[in-house]
Amino acid sequence: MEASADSAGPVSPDSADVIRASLQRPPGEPPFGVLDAIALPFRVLVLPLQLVGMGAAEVIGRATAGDPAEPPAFVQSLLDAGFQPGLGTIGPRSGVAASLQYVGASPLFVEAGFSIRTSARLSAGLEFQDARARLLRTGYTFQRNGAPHFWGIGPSTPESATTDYLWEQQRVAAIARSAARRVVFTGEVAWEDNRVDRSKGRATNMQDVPEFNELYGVNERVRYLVADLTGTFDFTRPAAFQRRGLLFTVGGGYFAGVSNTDSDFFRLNLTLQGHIPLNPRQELAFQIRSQINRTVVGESVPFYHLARIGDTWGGRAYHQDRFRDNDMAAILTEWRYEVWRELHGRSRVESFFLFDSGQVQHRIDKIRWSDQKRSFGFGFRLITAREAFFISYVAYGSDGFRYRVRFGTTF
Amino acid sequence: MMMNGLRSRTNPTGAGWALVAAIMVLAGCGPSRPTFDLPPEPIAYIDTLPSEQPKEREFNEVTRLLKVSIGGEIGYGFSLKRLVGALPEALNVTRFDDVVNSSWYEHRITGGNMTPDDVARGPTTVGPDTSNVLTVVAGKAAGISPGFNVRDSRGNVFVIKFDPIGNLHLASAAGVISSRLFHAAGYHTPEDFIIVFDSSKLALDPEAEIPVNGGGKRAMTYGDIRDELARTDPLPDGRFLALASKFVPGRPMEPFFFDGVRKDDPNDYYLHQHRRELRGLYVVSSWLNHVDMRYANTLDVFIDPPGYVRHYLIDFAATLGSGTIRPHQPREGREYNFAFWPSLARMVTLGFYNQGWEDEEFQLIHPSIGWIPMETFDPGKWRANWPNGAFRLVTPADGYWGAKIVGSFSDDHIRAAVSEGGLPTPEVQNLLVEILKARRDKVLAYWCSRVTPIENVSTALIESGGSRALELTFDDLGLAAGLSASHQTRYIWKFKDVYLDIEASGVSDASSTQRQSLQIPFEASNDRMPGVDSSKATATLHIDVERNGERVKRDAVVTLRWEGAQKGYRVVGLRH
Repeated sequence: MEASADSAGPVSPDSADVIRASLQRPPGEPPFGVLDAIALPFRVLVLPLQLVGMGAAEVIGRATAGDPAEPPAFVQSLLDAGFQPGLGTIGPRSGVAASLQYVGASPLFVEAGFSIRTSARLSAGLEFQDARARLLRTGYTFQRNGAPHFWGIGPSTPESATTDYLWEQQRVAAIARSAARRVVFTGEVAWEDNRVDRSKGRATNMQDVPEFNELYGVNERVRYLVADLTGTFDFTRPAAFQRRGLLFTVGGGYFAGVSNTDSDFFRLNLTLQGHIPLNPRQELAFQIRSQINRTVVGESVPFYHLARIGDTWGGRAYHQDRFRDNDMAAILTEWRYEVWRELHGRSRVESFFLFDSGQVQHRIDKIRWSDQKRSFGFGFRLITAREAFFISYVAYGSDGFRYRVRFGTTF
Repeated sequence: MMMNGLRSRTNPTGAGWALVAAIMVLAGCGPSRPTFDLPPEPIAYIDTLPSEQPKEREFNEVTRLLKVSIGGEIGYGFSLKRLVGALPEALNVTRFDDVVNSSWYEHRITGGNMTPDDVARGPTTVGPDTSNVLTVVAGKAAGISPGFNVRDSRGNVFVIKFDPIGNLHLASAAGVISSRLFHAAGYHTPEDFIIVFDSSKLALDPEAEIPVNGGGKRAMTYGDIRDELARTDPLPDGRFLALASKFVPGRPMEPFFFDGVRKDDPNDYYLHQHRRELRGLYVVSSWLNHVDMRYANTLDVFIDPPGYVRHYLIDFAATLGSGTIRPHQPREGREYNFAFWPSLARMVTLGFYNQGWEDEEFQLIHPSIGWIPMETFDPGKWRANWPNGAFRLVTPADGYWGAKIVGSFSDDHIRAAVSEGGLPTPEVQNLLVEILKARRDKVLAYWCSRVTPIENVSTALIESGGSRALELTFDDLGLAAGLSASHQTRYIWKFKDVYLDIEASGVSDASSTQRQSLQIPFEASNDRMPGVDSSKATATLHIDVERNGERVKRDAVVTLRWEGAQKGYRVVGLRH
């Protein structure tokens, strides 16, 4: 039997069904055979991996789709009214936070965010920015960190000594940024008011540990006038999908105690970042960081303003802010190599081996290479069409293994 | 030289056969001897029976591609059938390892009657009338090349696509040439033309709309037309060259997928990944370097009347050396856009895993041709930019089927198709012709080496010196493809007829003639047996070819039926 293409003929869709049902032709799908039976347990074992892959495909597909899906109606109405909803974090150990920013009356900005760990951020002010990335921003910010951790002061605090505290800070600040081709200067003048209280976190409150309760800043309301100037000198340049060159940042700030705060101190920050391509697909990247805090008069530096290491501050096998003291020095290194690149160059995945080493000390000259906290790890990051980074890594250090997933930029 | 072994378990004398037959006739029954059933045959154009139009379906292109690239590749990587070399064969094949004409595919070049002019003409009928006003009726709804939709004075609507700046002819020539070749190969393609027009002939339809980023459309302006024209180079005389693709007849639906079936289309019967035309498409695509062979470059069209879905391949701008908006890159054709396993290999080897293309210098063959490899082209390792369910399952038999299509294109056929591309000079045309010829030969040689490539099998019972033999003659496409010289080729065969109860095996040397032959000893008394039903077969002949001392892993199986009335065999099947 041979049907005729493009000839209507006397056959109706219903009678066509009857014809199809009466046909003898090869099966439309392969029969289940012996190999299928043998392979069945194998397929069941692979299924979870496949499901993970499918899930990743779903996420990546949605994230990189050329035409993003329309937001829900209530979100669209917020956007239309000049509000920008967001989801992320709002400070140390904030956990997941939702925020809402009003940008409908530029240069005015108003932002509010709240997290699952009772952190909060409220800010309002004016922001002027031009096409050359010059910026002038002034405004008020209330930042509540619901349950940051504290393990004590010094380089040898045990992980088991985890405590929590609540830190509220109010700030009125004016920031100016001047940007040239390779040099960016940022200056800030601010008034800040810091208060520490008992947190509602799961760990012991630091106020309940006598040794911690005596630290400056735990029981005092501390207010400063702050002046800060930072210069960034960028001698990197893009090389295909990599960067090459050095980026140098130096900054200094003075914290002058006001309103019965008997504490003046200054801070120096130094960062040297380097990118050394080994070939078009492999790169060595490093970041050397150092911070020095010195008391000028009065009480010591409040514990929450001390230098620290942990996580991206120089020890990715350690919790954020895991070690604190006056000074810190750390190096973060990554051997990055490209795993995948989208043909049109809009997305890519790179893997990296990481090695971090750092330490805090009362004085920087006490920092010894042999006593440093080291992290060894492996991870990968996805750079999508929207230039967002999805970063995932696992690192091992003296506190054990630590696995992190985060969204955001990296050095 | 011929070495044969013959064993006949029942070998009654002539008088004995007469007695047996007489007893059977008297008993009122025919001889009850073993036979085997032939598989049911696919039916030509049965998928054009009338049906309701399938419903529109929505999907996320990126998600779907990545699911195939990640989940699909994981499943394929751990597939036991793949690991033991037992991937399932295509389902919609005839007993002669071919497909029947359908809404997917029609035999054209393989029919043997296509002239170079036929190939050059392709599916085209009437091209756009560029001597009158071309009315821009819409912005392009899909694709990355610059362009818009126009309606000519005859009322026909075309998608106009321009070449990228600096690469005049690149995408337009590739699009038209490949459209002709895919059409001649047997696939449904739109009518594509090279046109040259004066921009002063363009008018804007007041109803014209253009898609906007983020979804939706807005009214199109002359500024939009100018923007699109600014994304290409004009000809030296100020006119514009473009590819014009005519809207296909029927109601356009969505792309078809390379796996599963469209459940609301009752004509869609075979799982797409098990369709021979789609698996064989891998080979044709590899020849023409159609790295963008993905479902977004296909289109289902509802033909009403009578009411069925026809399956088109569309948009060939990313074929040959063209990447549509740029020349192809060395990676294209060698690795998927998202290649799960190579990426994993790079991850665990600190990036040192190398596919071979990574350090290759980019060589632009010509600005109008782009980059298409010839010496380094490996038909077995060629990859489209995205995996799909059908290409993943290509077996040697599928590949060989596709290679026969590719091998059906003569030099003149190729030259005729290339001449339609409007390439700037005869030298550039010749260059592309030579590249396509070389790739064709590589395709044919590769896939012929994966099977025992015998074709046009016929049989005869011959008598020589008082002994009888079944002579089987055939063509060996491997010899034609230059895989081996005839004196370095031999055929190892094994014959078994369950009905006549004959088993024999042997080895035969190839001859220097085009037709090759095997001679199988045949007892004279066996031809007295009556024939069997046409749905049955009685014998199989397995033939392995050995070339240059190496035996091909996959034999050809010839199925035969004893025809009592003709006292001979009829070839009723051939599998590779």
